[in-house]
Amino acid sequence: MNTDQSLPTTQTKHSLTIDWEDVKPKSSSQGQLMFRRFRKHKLAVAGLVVLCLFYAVAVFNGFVATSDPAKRNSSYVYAPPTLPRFIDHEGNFHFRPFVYGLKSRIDPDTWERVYEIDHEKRHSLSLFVRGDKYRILGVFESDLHLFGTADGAPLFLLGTDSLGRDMYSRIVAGTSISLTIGLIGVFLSLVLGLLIGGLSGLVGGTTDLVIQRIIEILASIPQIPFWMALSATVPASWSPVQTYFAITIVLSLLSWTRVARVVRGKFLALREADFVMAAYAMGAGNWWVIIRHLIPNFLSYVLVTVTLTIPGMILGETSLSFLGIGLKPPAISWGILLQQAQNMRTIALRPWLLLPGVFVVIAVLAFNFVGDGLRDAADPYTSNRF
Amino acid sequence: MKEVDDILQVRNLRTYFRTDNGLVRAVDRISLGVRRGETVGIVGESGCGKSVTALSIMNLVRPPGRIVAGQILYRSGDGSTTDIAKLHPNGRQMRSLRGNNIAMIFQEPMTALTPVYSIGDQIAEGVMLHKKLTRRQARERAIEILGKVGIPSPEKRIDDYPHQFSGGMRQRAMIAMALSCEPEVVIADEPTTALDVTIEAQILRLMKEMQSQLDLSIIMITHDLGVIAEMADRVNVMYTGKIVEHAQTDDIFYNPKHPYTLGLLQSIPTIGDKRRLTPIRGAVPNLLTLPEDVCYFAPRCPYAMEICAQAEPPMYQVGTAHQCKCWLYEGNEVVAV
Repeated sequence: MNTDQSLPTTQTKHSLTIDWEDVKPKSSSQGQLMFRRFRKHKLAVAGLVVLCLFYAVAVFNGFVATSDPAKRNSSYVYAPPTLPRFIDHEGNFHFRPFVYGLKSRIDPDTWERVYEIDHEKRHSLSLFVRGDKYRILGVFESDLHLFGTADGAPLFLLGTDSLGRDMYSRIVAGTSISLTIGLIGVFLSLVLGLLIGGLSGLVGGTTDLVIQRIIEILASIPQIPFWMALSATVPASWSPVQTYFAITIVLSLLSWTRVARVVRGKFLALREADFVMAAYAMGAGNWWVIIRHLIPNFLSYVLVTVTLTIPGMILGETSLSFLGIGLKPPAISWGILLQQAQNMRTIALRPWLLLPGVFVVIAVLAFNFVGDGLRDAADPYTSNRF
Repeated sequence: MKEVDDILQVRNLRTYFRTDNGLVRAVDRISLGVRRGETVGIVGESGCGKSVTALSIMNLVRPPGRIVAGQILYRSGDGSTTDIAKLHPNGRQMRSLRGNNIAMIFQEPMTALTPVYSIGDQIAEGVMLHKKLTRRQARERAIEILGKVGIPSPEKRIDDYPHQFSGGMRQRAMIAMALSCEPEVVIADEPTTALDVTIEAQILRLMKEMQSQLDLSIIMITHDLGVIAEMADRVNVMYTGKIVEHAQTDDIFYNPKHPYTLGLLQSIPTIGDKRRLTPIRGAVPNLLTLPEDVCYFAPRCPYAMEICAQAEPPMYQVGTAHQCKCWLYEGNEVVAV
């Protein structure tokens, strides 16, 4: 074998020098590559936009709502939605959107209260109106609302419930609980999953065997009865905040198993990777290897699992509250709002009470789309690489 | 192995794997020495225990494997001697030796580099672990060492990720990583097996350059006799977990003693030679089913005698610095280990 071969260097007269190094594109990290792939997934980007909107609403719900979600209007019980319009009943166009007022009367045959549009009263809508007081994040007090009627007349965009409370404001208010319960629950299951799954994958042997069997048992229990049993242990005397956290814990007690399985699988696969051995050969300790090399390598997969777990949590909260064993009024969540739509009569006569369900569907779909997009982006073996 | 100036001395090392199917004696009573600044080759076919020897020296043998007996004496620059086999594999002392005093170059440069960090970060990692440098200093050190191993414009390539490097460049980066903390001993486990021959030549030349610049001792583990001829000063031939012959490189090629070494050499093609190659007959025995105290090569050996199936041959001194573990040389002086 001859290693000392070298080509004779040729001298050229042309001295045009091109510095190719200057043209070299900037190196992209795994995260940047992932972001680029994610951006190509149109549905996922749309889902992300929807989620950002929803969470903005969750934080600033008082501002987005048109009235205090707890305010009762005894003269507007079960009022139907009044959608803003630009064209009045005579066909004239108005540049400013407006709503008509509602007239109510009692139907002499059914004794039901019936609402009719009152074309006499026209309330135009405007942005940034003053109205009911609210607090943002429980700290900043304000009475400024994103929009409302200019003259302060009640506005029921999505109708009212049995106590004459504005459904739109209530759905907006429910956003904070319904969407954050998923986040906090997922954070808890992430911690549990990382710890237990990591332990299972790292230690192996009997520990692994026991943990895996526990996971299998937990995963085979029907969710609703298990949740019901657990939430039955939450004392009725607890404050809404306490119940809220109790419910997040109940939800995450079942959902950590998915994260744990992913983490364990990745630990098992990466533990044997050459670069892990190389890190040990450089003198790294166990914790160093776990934090610097193992976790960054499977974090994207965990992220995907987590994103796909959140919708399950949202649905879990909704189901529990719908069944009356989750959160309880006066707390407002989408599940609690849906409790009113538990019978056929309501659905037939007051279909707008089902609207919170539409928001649940939108939120869950958005999370699933984002999760799908992340999964494709996180997988380095997808076909459309760069 | 009487040399006192050995930087690394392996004495009677045994690394066994306790598997469900039985005990595998992957490394069985091997002894070897490495002098300062020299290259010692370990050659043998797949599964003969070369890599386990390397991992044993790094004290990185994973369960079910374990160093059962023997000594791995490391004499550092300041004259103190440490027995690596006695250290706890995850202990502070062992960790400070790894990378800092004894470093390793791996076979597959793609899988031995983390995909999630840039090349520079990975080189700087070891420096930061051992040398207590700041991030900026470690980065400068990484650029310097990348330049040394022949990566053009290292200050621009340092932020690249492993997938942006070619195979040869990745192996250069691996070498840079191994050398980043200025170790005294480098264990190269098949460093060129994953590379094509042109790159192999470049990498081997680079390793030689680095060796003369940094006064490195290299343990070269390979199955390729060509690489051995190129690199090694002394060679250990391994077969089924035992060293069967140890000699100067020239002696191995021109004056092989052990029938196994002879067989290996006869199965290398030579340019211009029209004769058929003679393969070693039979196959490597299963380490699980081997009886103790016999010569494991006997079933494949054209010179096998009755004694070969009855007792294990000792290591005979068959020439100057030339030892061979074979009954054919009975009568020569027996080497004590």
